[in-house]
Amino acid sequence: MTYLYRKKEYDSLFELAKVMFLDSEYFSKELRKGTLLDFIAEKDPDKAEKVKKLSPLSYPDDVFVFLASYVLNPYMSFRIGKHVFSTYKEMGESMLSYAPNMNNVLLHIVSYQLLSHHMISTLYAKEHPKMLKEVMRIEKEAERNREKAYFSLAYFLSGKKTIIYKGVEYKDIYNLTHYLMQQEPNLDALGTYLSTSPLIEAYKDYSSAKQELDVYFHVVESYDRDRRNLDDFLKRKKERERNYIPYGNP
Amino acid sequence: MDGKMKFYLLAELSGWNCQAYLKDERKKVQESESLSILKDNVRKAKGHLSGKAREVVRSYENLRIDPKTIYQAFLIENSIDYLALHSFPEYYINPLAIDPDYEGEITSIGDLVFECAGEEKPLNDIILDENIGDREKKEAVSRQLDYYLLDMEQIVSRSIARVKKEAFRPKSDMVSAITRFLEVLFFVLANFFLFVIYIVPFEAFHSFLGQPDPKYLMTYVLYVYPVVIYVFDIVFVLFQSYRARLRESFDYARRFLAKNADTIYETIRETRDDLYDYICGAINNRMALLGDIKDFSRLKDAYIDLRSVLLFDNLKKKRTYLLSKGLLLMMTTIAVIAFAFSFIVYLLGAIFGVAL
Repeated sequence: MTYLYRKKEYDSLFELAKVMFLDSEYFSKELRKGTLLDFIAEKDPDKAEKVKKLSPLSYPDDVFVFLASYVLNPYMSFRIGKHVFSTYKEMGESMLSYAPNMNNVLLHIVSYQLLSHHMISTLYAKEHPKMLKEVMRIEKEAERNREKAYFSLAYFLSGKKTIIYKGVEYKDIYNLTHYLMQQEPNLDALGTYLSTSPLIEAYKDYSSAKQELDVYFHVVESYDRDRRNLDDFLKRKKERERNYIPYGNP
Repeated sequence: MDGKMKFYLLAELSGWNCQAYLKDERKKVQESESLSILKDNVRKAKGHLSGKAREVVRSYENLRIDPKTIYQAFLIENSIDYLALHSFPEYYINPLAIDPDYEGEITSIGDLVFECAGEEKPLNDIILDENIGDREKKEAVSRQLDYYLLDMEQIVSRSIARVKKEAFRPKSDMVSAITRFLEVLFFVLANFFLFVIYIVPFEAFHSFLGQPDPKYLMTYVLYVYPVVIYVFDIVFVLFQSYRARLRESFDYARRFLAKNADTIYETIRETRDDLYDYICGAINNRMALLGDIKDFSRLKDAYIDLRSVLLFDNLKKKRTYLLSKGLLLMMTTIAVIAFAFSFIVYLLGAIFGVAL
């Protein structure tokens, strides 16, 4: 039995797994239906069972197909949702290239801990335990703040110390702010964005500007928190005065 | 601070000189709602003795709104917001140390802000919150009451220290004691002299009683001096009564504290436990607290008025006291001049047996 995809007949699960990332939507449906699953079951019943176990879980198509493809071929280079990376460094650079935005498909890497899965699957982790530990730490961080985790992973993998913003690479924050001060028409919105930007937060941990950026985030955070606390308090106070209802109204 | 200022802060911290963007910031801070709230609240907080109220007042007085950098501007605005929030009586009133004459907006202990489950909220909200366990609520209450107790004990300690300071006055205070003694001595002498000029027979002098003649100094001694002394007497007596009234509770507290400090500490600790039981009762029954803000005050209890001890110096700075003191000083000066003049005229007249 062979499996036909885009006019090409596949006889090997290994070969088929290598192209599944090209069309996650299609393969996601195929993996949940009979034809492909029958093909896999005929070639390797254990793998078919593993794929079946994945299908009831509510993964996005890209993630489901990624996990299923590594069941079929655990030793492939990293490939997900039309992206293929021959090295992790390349993956990191690609993730950063979208800054200050994020690529939704690549965001799945931290959200669903796909990189550590891949490192373990390909046995890369055995030779690089420290790297696996750091990747797992970042993936864990994604539970709290996945946007920051995305950029942390990007910086960690790429090894970059520069900052990339809208396709331009800046040596440091000094250069970035200088450029933006002259080019950006809406500094108000930009300043608000940068003060909570996961890109800058992640950059802080991997650049030499950690101290200044720690001060920056601390000052802005304290300022925003105390302003919010005061506003909330005044709002509650006004509401109480307006309603004239004592607490609890026993 | 808008997003733009946040951008400039980032730029400044990365090495740019952003002083040019500070221009409007000072004005904005000066006219901000937070600062206006803070100013208004600090005026009210000055009348409270609790540690937090004093801290807010002190911090406000140390506030300098003159930022030289964007970073400083952020810190200053942040301090103002923080102080403005904590300058509301919900944050600083200590129910053990509240003035029994307090007539402010806070009417219940349930209005006071407590910290529970990592959040600051009014005690009544905590009592009625179904998502927090009773045990956690009671622990939060206990922590806050421990703080109130410590704060109250510090008020007592300060009162005792104030009393001790009064008991062992430094030399400068001795000068004012001597001044007060001289005031009394002059009061007695001036009135005694008044008695003398009318009682001791001195014919040349007394002849002016029936026929005053403005050409003779004796006339002034007879008619002006008594008027001056009468006015001086009235001002002197009124001022001494006013001062005695101000000192009354202070002196009583001073005497009491010198002997019974331990009793005070014990009473406060008992009150803290009573308050804890009271709030726990409300927690157990899910009842909000109402109209009880002064029920556990020990600031002016059956034994002592701590407020009068600590605020005695402040009372002496009040306008009424200063005006009265000024009036007395003026009258004393006039009376001394009148006394010296009359005494010399009378003495010379008596020595030479003629009316001057």
